[in-house]
Amino acid sequence: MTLHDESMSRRPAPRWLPLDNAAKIYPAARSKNWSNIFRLSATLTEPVDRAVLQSALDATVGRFPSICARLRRGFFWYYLEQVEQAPRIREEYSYPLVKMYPWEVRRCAFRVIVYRDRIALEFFHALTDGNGALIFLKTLLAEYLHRKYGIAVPAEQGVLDRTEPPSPGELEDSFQKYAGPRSASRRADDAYRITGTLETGGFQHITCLELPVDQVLRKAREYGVSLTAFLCAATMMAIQDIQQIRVPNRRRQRPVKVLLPVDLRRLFPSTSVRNFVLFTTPQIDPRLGAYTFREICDAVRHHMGLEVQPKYMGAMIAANVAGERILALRAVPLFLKNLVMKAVFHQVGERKSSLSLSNLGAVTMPAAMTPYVKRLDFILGVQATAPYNCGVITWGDTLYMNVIRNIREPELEYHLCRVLKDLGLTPLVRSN
Amino acid sequence: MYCANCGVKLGDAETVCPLCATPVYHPALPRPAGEPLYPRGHYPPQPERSLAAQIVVTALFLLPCLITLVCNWQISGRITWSGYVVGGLLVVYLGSVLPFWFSRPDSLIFVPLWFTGVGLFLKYIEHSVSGQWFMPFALPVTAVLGLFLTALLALLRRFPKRKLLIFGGAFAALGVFLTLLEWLIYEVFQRHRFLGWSFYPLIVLILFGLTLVFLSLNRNARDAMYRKFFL
Ligand SMILES: [Zn+2]
Repeated sequence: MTLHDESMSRRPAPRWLPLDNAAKIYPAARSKNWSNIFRLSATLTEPVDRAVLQSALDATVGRFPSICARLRRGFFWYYLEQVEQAPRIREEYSYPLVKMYPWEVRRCAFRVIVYRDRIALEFFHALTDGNGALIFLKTLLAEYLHRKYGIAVPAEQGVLDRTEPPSPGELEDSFQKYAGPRSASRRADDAYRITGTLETGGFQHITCLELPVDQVLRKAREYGVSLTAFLCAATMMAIQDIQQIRVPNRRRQRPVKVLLPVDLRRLFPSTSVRNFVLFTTPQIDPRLGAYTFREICDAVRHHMGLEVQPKYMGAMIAANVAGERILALRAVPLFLKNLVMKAVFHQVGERKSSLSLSNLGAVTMPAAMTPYVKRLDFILGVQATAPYNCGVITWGDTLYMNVIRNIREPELEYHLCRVLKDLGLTPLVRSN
Repeated sequence: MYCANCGVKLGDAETVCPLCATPVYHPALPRPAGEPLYPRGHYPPQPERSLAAQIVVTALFLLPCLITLVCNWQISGRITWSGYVVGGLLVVYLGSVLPFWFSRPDSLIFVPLWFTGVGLFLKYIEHSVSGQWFMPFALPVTAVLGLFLTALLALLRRFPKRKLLIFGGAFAALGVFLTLLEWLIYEVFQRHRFLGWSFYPLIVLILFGLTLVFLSLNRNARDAMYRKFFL
């Protein structure tokens, strides 16, 4: 996608971009009580200097015209329009990921929130995915540390050069570029979903499990799987146990599925900072009998081996962009598209998994920055119709697993900790 | 500190275990003070429910009511035909706008309420035209329809998993209702001969209803139907 920039006229028209293929569902899927948002935060070693952060933010936003943007309506599609001015930094005063209302998304679709020594960014998912957001966070941090402490941070390891203009590759909709020649089938069964008593006032519980990453890695190797697959298997084990308690009749149980986002930048040579992520959904079917942890690990590993590779993901992309390439569909007015996409999202999209578990992996930063950063957190907003989600990020020697929920009962957290404890891992638990 | 019940390691700021709600307490150990990850005890304000749409729609309903009443009064000096207009609009309002004034309208209240409104409106019409059809015809028909729909909603709410069975029964009952309706028309209005038009929908509805009941009771048949007709 090209960036529409008019430098000839006296007052330049605002830069704008159509939504990328994955982003198109998010505005349509929003409802009165829910929109798809996520948070990425960095805790520093000293309290945050708000004035310096604001100036760093002002200097950084121009570099990310696709992220520092607001959502506007066209007649046929939504689009992103760059905000002229960086948003004001806010104080954290409540739980994370407070609902982002449509009028806020229309003004600016991301937030910068400061609490003591922590800088948090909250994004509407149509802007970017976790990895794009991580690049933005690192670049902002680099600028902040540079201004605050005068350190020179090289533009490497995900830190972008603030003085350069954005490259076309960063702004491209990589889905269009890397779609495979054939479309994959998307049929799937509905998954088991945890239910509970909804919290009043929109409150969301955060339970952060902190684990020493070397211990987790050693355990994962013991079971012959990657760290993501290991955590996914532990979560599936916990959900299997919960379902066994809630629905003792095996015949009436549903498959347990965890939605694992796959960063497509690792499979395709894309440098986009927009959405470029798809999913793989490892699953077990408890109707066939109770799975042992090792069996779940094998199921996850083989499932990922089958699907997480360029050919299959290319076919998945092709299936997603197919509809968008039909002119007759593109020409349907936006409000009709919204109706259809909302229906599809609720009937198909979310029901197919029990929760999502997004792992941003071990984060690296230029050596000059690392002494200033104490911890990182990655929190996904809850799903539209299910109470849980889970974000994982690793910084230094600690793995931070943030489990969010909007119901009272901490059932999944409890069972997850028990599963981890049975495996010999003792998480440090914090809550809000 | 570790949780005494479930054994997880807890952050210093935890006063109760976030997993099992056990208070964090040890008589011999002072609890270290810690900063919570997020500010506690503050909720963001929830936006007020906007009533603008309801007010506008209500005004749109009131406007024709007032205009017809005034015109009717000016022309005939009393309320004649405008009564029907206002009554009809009120019935429509009762069913379509009134529930939206409430944040969680309960259909089990509003459905009977609407049928009561319809009944009153029909009574008013009968009174205005000096008819003799309300007690023997309009009242039983509205009452039965109202009860039928309310019962259907109540059953669907009470047994959400037995939709097929409930709808099967409802279709069969609808067929019977149509037959009774024809008989009532014949009795009340003294038609020359009993036509029996209602037997055709009766047969179709009963067959369809029984099929649904059968499918609801027979899992294999249900799966087979789903296999043949899934979208
Ligand atoms: Zn506990």
